[in-house]
Amino acid sequence: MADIAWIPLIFVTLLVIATIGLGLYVQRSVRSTADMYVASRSVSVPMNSAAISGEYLSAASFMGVAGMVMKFGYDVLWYPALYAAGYLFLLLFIASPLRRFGAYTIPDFAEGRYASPSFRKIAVVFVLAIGLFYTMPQMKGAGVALVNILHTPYWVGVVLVGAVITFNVALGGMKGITFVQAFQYWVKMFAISVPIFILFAFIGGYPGQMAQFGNQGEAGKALPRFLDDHQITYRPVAPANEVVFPAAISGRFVNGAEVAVTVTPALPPGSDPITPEDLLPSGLPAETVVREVAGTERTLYIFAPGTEFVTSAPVQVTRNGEPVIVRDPSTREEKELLVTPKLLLFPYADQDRVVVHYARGEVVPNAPADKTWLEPFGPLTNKYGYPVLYTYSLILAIICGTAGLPHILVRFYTNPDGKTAKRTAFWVLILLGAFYFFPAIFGAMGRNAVPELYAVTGGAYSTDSVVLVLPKILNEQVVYLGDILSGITSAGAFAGFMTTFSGLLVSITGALAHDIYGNMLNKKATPQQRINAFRLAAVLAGAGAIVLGTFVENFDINMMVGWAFAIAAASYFPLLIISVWWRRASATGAAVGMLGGGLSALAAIVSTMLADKQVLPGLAVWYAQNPVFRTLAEQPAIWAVPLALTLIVVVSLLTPRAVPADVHHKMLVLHAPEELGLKHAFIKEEQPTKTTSR
Amino acid sequence: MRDIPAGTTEMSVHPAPGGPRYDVHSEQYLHLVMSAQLKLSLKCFAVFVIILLGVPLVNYYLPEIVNMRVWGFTLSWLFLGVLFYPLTWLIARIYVTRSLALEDEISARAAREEGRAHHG
Repeated sequence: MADIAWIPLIFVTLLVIATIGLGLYVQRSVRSTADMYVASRSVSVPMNSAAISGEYLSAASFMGVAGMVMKFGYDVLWYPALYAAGYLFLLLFIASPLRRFGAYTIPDFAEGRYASPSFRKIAVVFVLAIGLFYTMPQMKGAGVALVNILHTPYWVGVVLVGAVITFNVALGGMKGITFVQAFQYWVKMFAISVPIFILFAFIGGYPGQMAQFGNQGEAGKALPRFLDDHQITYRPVAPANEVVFPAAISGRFVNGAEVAVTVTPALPPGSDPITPEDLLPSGLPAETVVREVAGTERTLYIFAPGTEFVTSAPVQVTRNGEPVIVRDPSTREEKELLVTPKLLLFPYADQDRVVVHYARGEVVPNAPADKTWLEPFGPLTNKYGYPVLYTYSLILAIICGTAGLPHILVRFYTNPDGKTAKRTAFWVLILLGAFYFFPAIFGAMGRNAVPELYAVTGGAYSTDSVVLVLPKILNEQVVYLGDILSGITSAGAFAGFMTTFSGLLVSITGALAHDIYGNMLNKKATPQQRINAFRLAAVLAGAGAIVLGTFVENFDINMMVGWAFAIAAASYFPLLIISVWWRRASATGAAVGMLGGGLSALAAIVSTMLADKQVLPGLAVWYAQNPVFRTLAEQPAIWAVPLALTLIVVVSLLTPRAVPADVHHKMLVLHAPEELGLKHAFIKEEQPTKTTSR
Repeated sequence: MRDIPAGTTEMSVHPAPGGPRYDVHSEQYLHLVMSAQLKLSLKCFAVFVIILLGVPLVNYYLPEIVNMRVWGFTLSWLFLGVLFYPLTWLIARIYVTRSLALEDEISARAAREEGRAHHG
């Protein structure tokens, strides 16, 4: 296929070498289990805030947010804004008390706060589940990115990133990755901002880009158009092969195609039929075949290679000849219902993909119109007709999810004391806010400059790759400039996979080595045994993540991150906020609330997936008829978080005996400044190698 | 930041002159430490909640205002995509400054009480 992208390869190679080098350098000073788990609680505020930010900014933040802004517009701005603002919540309520408790892992906190060893077991399960759901997307991102750069098989990127990070974590633990994560925060900040400033110089600034989108009258109906002739490749995997044509668009099936012709949104029951001839006025081939597509029998039209086609403009829906009137959920205006043609593309004869040629000036398929893109309650939140509900649930999920991610929370234990934990959280908010300002600019610029990315909705050349593809347009202005900037953003994306995976691996390893081995299997382990257990667990967890990562090539990245956030929001967040601030919380109450909230959120999300993949077709039909429940199941935070909180409170009040006897002292430890000398850290450091800053 | 500040913050933990003396291990002391910090957190959080609850409502009920064009942006985009970040920084800055001052005061007060207990 295409040549190796040498310039991005050089940048990524340099980054990998620097990562391994830093890991080796730090490893020389790692001596104790405290180093491995919490970097001896001696990480300075500048270092730790950069490390936390570096760990948090995953590939989903680096590439996914920009791609989603380009795809859906305004509604997606909530993601970066709240990914950052989640730390305000953490700062106000959780960061400093959590640190003062002085544990190694979040299950430590659960056991220590409630004096309940069985609670640790429940907490460990959630650490592992969240870690797993969050790890897989990093693995997939690494594999896909390397496919783009080197055209290697998918598994090569998974093994490369997995091996490098497992090596670093096994050698240096938390201490080892702290330096690497801090360094890579700055790599990512550089990689997202510098290309944007250079792009500004050539194609105009942020306000100028935004001014190109209309929202008044006819200007709001504008759709992005191809700036050049393009051949778009569709692989026969849903949703990448589903193409929506929002206007009359002509194209050519270069290597032929088998096509199912349908409409979106689905026709309401009782409306007059709309035929494939209405949707493809250029004509349909005589040759057809019937195949099962996602559980239903469909007629596929067989277009020979080179056939031209033209889709219809959106078609009015009628019932008994009268136009169907619907109320627009976001503008609340009555309007005639229009549906747009949607084609499902499958390869022709012995081909393995469908290639469609679109001429310059044609409208790009799948793109939303300017007004819906630019204004609130667009295609993301309005897809089931309850945009405000969807927005609130999204807000709650991200804010509470951020405050409940165990691999992030555990980093606060590396601060010397509660005060530095507060300062660290404050600086994290600054560093993340500075970063998250930029991806939306990539999204807006991408809509203007590389609209062809809309033409496929999934895979390596969709809007998800805007951060890598957009800088290349500068190659026309200055030779190699675009490739160099694209190399820089590739390195930034790689830094995203590596830092997030390293944090997750420490978190998973901590759960295995400290919570399971050190506190359940072998409580009398010597310090050396504990270090060995940490290293062994890191290698096992890393190897496991690599193996599983090779199987998730066709999973949706954002979906799995969404699971992790929803489970964290409905399990750890309620646990932490109540444990820190409510003295009457009992072990039973906290455990029931955490399990109830976390499991019901998980069940709701899994049910939408089972419906979408047609595993439970009955459920899919029911969700289609009950869009409120569909919205609530897809974004469960709005009910799952209150459910978990209510369960904790009610069950705690019913089981006052399960409130720890020394709760008073525990609350003092959580809240009183360290100067008072009340602190008895939950973990007694076995062999401090050096004094902390205290 | 080890120095004990001389000034008091808005939410002072100093009791009224001649007020009760607290043992650092007492119920009252815990209540003092927790409620002062919690009040401060809740105040800052309230501002944040008003913004988060308010923005979707304003977007929904006042579209003609939030969709006005300002400097190329719509008002809603300008707020959430640009101004939101400095706003969170401001709230966080106010919180951190006051919260740390509060902690210093609590420690200073405890140290004084201890001194009195030892010498008096």
